[in-house]
Amino acid sequence: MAITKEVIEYIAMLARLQLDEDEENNMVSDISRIISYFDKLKELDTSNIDAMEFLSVDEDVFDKALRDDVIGKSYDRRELLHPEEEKDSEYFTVPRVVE
Amino acid sequence: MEYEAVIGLEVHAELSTKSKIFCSCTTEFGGQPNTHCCPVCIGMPGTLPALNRKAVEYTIKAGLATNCTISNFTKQDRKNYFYPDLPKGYQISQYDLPLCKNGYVEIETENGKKKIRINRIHLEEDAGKLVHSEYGHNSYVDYNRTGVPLIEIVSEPDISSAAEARAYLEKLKAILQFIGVSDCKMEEGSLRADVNVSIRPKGSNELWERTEMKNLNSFRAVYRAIEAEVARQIQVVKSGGTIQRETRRWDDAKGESYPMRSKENAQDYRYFPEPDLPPLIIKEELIQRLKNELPELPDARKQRYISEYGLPEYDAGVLTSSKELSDFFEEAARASENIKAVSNWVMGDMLRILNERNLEVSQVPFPPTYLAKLVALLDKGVINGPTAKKVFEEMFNTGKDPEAIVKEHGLEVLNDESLLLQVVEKVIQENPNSVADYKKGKKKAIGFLVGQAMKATKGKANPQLLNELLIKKLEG
Amino acid sequence: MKLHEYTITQLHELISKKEVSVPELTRYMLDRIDRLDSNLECYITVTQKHAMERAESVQKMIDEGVLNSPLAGIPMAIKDNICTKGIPTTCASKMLGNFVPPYDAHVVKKLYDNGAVVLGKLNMDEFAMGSSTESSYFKKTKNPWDTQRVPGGSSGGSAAAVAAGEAIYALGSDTGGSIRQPASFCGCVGLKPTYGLVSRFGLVAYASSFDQIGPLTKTVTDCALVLNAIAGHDPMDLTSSRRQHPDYTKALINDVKGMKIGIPREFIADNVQKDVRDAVLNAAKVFSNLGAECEEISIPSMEYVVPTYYIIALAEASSNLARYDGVKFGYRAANPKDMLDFCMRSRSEGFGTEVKRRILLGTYVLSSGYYDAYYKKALKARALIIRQFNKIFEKYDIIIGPVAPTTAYKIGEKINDPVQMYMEDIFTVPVNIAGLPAISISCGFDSSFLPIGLQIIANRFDEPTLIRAAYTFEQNTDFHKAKPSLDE
Repeated sequence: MAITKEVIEYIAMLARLQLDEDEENNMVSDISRIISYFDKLKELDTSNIDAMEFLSVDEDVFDKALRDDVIGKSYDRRELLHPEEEKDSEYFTVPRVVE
Repeated sequence: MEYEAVIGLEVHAELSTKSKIFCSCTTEFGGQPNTHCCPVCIGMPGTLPALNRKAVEYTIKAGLATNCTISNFTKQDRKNYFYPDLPKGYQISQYDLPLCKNGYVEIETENGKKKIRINRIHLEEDAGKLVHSEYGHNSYVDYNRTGVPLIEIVSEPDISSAAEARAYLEKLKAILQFIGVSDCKMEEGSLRADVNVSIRPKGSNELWERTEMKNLNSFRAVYRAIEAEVARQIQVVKSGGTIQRETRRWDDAKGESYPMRSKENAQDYRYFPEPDLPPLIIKEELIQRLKNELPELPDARKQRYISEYGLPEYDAGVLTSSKELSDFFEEAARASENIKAVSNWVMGDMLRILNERNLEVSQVPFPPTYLAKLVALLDKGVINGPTAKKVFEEMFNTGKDPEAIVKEHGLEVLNDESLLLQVVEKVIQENPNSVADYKKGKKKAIGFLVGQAMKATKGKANPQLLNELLIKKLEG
Repeated sequence: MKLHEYTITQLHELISKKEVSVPELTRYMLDRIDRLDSNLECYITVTQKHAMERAESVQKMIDEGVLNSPLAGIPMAIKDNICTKGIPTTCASKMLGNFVPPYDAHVVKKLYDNGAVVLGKLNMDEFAMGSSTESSYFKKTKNPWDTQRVPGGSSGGSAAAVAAGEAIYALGSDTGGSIRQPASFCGCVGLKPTYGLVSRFGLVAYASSFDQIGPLTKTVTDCALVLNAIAGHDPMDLTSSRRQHPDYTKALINDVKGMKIGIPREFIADNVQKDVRDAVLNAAKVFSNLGAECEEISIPSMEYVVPTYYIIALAEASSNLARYDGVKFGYRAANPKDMLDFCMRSRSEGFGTEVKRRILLGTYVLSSGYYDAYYKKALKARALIIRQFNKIFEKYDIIIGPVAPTTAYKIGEKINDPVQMYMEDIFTVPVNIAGLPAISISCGFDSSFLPIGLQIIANRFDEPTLIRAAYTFEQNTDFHKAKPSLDE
């Protein structure tokens, strides 16, 4: 399918990116070219392949890799808050969210 | 035309693990904002999720307790969407390979037992909390709940009424509490429900467009929201309209729902396998071990109360509706020789007092064995019925042993015949009118005289004995 | 010889014999950075004070005999997408210009445990998206061999710093060639370890299933020393291997007799610059002369590796970069109208063009209606490519070929043609797709005396064979001894 302005606008909204006129035009042309290059993959015969085959199957993940349910120390809030928050802020501040 | 409702529930329950799903921060409820957080749970660049083994075990247990098939191969997936309470910009959830599939729970309906099928149970992470100021331009984000493990239990659309939905929720809640994987506190948000509702001509197999209702934080809200939505849909259809597929938000205060703004919510979650977590092989030994760890489930316990304790089905149902209540009853019953009486006390006075005082079973200030003692005191005639009720109230006030209360306040029943005889004589002397009435044949006057005698003994007299002595004296 | 020209091994000996102190060495390196870096622009952050303090304390620990790692006191630097507690970690992006991590990456902790002295943070392509370091928001790093040219990328700052003696060694990250290609362009040794050998905890994610941290060094010996320090299981990274890793210095054996080497014919085709092809074929001769058996082989799906790689990498990237919404860290747009505007403008103003392009592509290939045609198809292609490598490694010990089709190109020459840029990754991305280890070592120079890298690829977790082959080649050639001449 052709990469149109509308497609780019839809994708940009999903990705929360705002493009100006020039940027959008460039994206339409660059992404069209790149996607048609990706389309080369359609030639490849993968009919006998399971998409999940690449996942390494390690039987011992549950026993040996998962984390034990033990409480550790949380961080000092001041180390986590956004650097632009007021020093004594308790929260991450965002524009009012209307639901 | 008559319509019937087709209802499916998506229930989210927070798991009661000690630490979060992907980091070791505590899951404890409350706490100062953003103090149960670390770089992992606020999604800081460079961090990775380390899956909590217990969260997986709890999910499997929930599946086993609801008759699900446990997947031998499962993985986590990313669900991508933007919202300020979701720190990574995606939620780690499960898409095509959930841990549990194809289960069911059984509920009681007006028409008998009914199976509600469960499509799947999967494991995911909870999001944070947005706080909105009354005025001003800002909202504030608290990530303390972010990363608390959550299971989503998706039912098939087998539910036909608000009452069935409530029964299903109550059953799920009881099961999850019995197996100890969630405390299911709706007021703390650890149990939440989204509801899918559609209608169709009664008796047909058609599937009409459905709506989804979010923000249901109590059983009452679920019930009312379903009633309202079914009525709304019937209204729309009857007036020639069609139902739009949409997400609606329930406003519990107003008792109505309204469609959520959907401009920014083009739903394309772009699920793909979580590359930071390897897939999980769930071995048969593990499933067996977890199965063996499961305690007696509510349905089994209910059957036991019926067969072993001889309780009526209704009573057995109420007593097994919550684990705390059931455990309390059971401990009292084990210490008692009159289980039926214990059951009556729990179902009657105890639930009434809990309700009046807005208390949880866990807040009962005395051990269950005290209830057994109270029943014994009554059965042995040490105290009488009215006194027993007073003692029970006092146990709730002070947490004291009923024997101690009886002793302290001298509440033992007066059985001393000579003592009571003196009281009877005194009462006859002081109430000549009533005595005259009685002798004229107004047998009811005896009641007044007994009352006076009880009063004189501060309610402690054995009323039966008192009655006998009075009649003997009046007629003798 | 000057201090900056020494290897880790040589400096370790000087420090042990007290011929140079760690603070002296560190001061020397900082002065050198001060002198050269305004021209080469390898560093985003130079941690003068931190480095000197570390140097003092490391020296003290060496003197007390509580620290005897070969890396103790060696001044090094870290790519700016690896988190360092208290030190800005920008990913060369305006987005993370204000980000100071409150924690250290697993590899950084391990290096500190080994007594490393961190000189600073190195330039790169923005969020590691690029192969020329030109997409950095902050600066353009020059290739020390010719400052008109790019150092390669995305670990361009790391490769240039090592080649120019602005760090004794460096850490980089490799998602589709980002260690090997700049190592090739700058004439140093660059290793991409097996996926899972080195913890990714603290590496700012680009494409999670391909990203690996690895060393850039002057010699193969140094490479083995650094790998020893950073490899190993990390419970914080569930994709990190739990197997015990060997001592890689034990693989420093000058002998390839009987080693079976495959040279894919797709690696020496017409699309490869002639000087590069000749150097690789010459390397094969070197190996043959040393007793190895070289044979031409084929990787049938080579023409599909680039689309396969990019589809998966960008899908993951689009998700990995969703966390930058201005709320918790990173750039925040001023005067937002509402939450949507805040999120959209923070992202749009914070990310550069290449990053946006890749996020859009990744979003597209995952979006409903295209998932099967692109993302799922790429997963299948990936499985197929892995099968092909598995088959090769049944018969061969290593694969050799070029790292990149060309040597370092001019700054600005290719930046405007994204398809061309992506296609140049053809020889490096198959390694990431299959999770294999691969190394780039110097194997010659082109007619402009620009370094040419030889890529050696081994089977999963077979770093010992990889190191043995690379070491043998290095011991029997002089290419690694050449140094760029810098106007000092």
